[in-house]
Amino acid sequence: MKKVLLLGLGNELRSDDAVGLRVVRQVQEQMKNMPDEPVSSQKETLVDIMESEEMGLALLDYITGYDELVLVDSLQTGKVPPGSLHELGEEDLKVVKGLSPHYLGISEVWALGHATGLPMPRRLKIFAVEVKDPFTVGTQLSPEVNETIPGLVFRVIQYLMKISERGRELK
Amino acid sequence: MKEEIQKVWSEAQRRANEAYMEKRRVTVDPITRLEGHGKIDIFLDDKGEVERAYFQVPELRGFEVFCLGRPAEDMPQITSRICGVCPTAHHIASTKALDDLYKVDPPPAAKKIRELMYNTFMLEDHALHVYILGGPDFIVGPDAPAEIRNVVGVIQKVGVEVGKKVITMRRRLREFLSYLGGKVIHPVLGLPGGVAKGIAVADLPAFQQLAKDGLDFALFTLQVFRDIVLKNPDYVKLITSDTYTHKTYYMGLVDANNRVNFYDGLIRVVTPEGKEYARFPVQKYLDYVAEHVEPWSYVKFCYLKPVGWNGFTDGIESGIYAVAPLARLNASDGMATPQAQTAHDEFYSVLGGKPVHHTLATHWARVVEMVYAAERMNELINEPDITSKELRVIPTETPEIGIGVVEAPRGTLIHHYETDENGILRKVNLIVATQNNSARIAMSVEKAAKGLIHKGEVSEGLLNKIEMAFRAYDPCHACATHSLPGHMPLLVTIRDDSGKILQELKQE
Repeated sequence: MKKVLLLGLGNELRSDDAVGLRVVRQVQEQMKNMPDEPVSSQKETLVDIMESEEMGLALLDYITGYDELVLVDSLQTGKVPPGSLHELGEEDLKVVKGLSPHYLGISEVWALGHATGLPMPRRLKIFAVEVKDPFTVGTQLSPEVNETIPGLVFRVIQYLMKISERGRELK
Repeated sequence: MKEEIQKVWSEAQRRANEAYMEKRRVTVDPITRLEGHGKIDIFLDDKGEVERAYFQVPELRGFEVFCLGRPAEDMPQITSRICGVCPTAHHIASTKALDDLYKVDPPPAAKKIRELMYNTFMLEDHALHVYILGGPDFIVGPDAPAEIRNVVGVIQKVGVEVGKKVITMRRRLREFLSYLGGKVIHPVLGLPGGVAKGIAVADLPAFQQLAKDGLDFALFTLQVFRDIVLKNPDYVKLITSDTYTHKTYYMGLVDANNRVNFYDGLIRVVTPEGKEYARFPVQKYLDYVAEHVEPWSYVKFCYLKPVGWNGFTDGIESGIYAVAPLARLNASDGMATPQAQTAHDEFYSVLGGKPVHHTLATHWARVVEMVYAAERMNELINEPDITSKELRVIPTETPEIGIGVVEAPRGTLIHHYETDENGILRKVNLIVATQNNSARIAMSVEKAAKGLIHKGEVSEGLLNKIEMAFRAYDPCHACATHSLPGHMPLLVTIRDDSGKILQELKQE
């Protein structure tokens, strides 16, 4: 059985940084009301939904053992307007060459997990929202970021349904 | 009138700063938000020599505003959630501030459980730095090609089995933290006057085994460090090189015998010559610690108030001090456990006695502390009353002021709260570890830049050598909590004294 993990990342107390957590929470809510939702199909769980405020190496504890990983996170490139959506796959992950003080992002965790032979997911999809302010302590999202949530929730559900279909075919 | 003068002065200052910023700058801008990102501006003079280098970090805004008006009991949860890097350090510092606020002394078993949790966290966090964050500099090597100087390079060097060992040990330590705190990231263990949960007798053997394995792991790490780093004369030369040396004061918590303690004790400060300068309870920190403000940085630079701020200089006349593993060892008379004491003695005999002023020796001091943390775990988990159910003294006094301290992995961490008679917060002040170190970090960055840029020419490896200067401190600024899927490249822009770009270097 193919197992998928939908993991929302972020910090609840740091303004826009919470967007990943909010999105997966809403995905979970909405999927409860769907007649043929991909969370459990024929009494078998296809998709697990989790939230985490952790980072770096700690993510290994969450993601090992799954076949496929779908991340929802925030990102700040400064190159696109806040609220823009980045969609990335494992092909976009390159191990960082120049290390910054603490750099241990998903790409390094991904590489480390594979290098040590852990049961890592084979596939990865990342939905990341360009954020405006992840540095103010607070629980309010900026309007630009807040507005993207409904569309992204829909997009994530659509994606989960697509890969669940694939999962059923593989069964 | 006074306000007007202030306004004019501020405007003049702003213009002067702007004009200065316009010209002569080299920028190193590693924009990754992980555990805070740093930005370094290097200004050259008309001869192409480094005039000043500024290390900047983003600001965590609105923390105090967010806390004021809330019950003080919320602080162990709030502060541990602000930063995903050292949640346990904030949780315990905050809990100790609440003990002080409500004037309660927790039962012995509760203190032991807190300290046990704390040492477990220290071992885990230090291991992460030694192998994963700082490892690329030393395990792979400071001069190794950039494409292998990363976590995968570390695994290649130490072997897959060791990599697995690190990951497994870290996971087991975290499981124990979850057992005690509910969650690693939002622990709910500490309460004013005690802890919320004890250790069940039935669970004890597994944790005793974990402590034993933790010590084996720490000693193994010490051996890895000896084999890879100390046996390489080039590394030792780099550690002791002048570029990475500053003669400052050092601060750390010590027990009654002046030995390192992470959880409790008095704050001790030693001079650059290693003599005791001060030894005081945290409640007196404002007599000793003051903050200096620079217009170019959000970070306030801590210095020793009685010595005074004398600019970014070292020596006995300058109030700049350091915290974190190297500083803790320097500020103590030794370690409270036998194998850590042996490791401590080896450290000082190789590096020429106390105090050691070489910033890069912090990596080694961190390994010495791993041994101590693991030994202390073993002591505490085997205490006869560690499974005691007497875990809390209920506060009865009216709250007013509470100040607590721990040694976070990155150094002395102080929480200071003031409340009304109902325990509602009216004032919150945190001195975080990296803030204590900020002046010395700024000096390290500048010294590295000065050593590597001459006549407008930038030596090979500038980025990494400068980064090494601050990576040793394991700085954690506006601690962001989680990993992002992307990263920004490193960019160095070199400008001559007219502001013209001479060269741009990028690390993708």
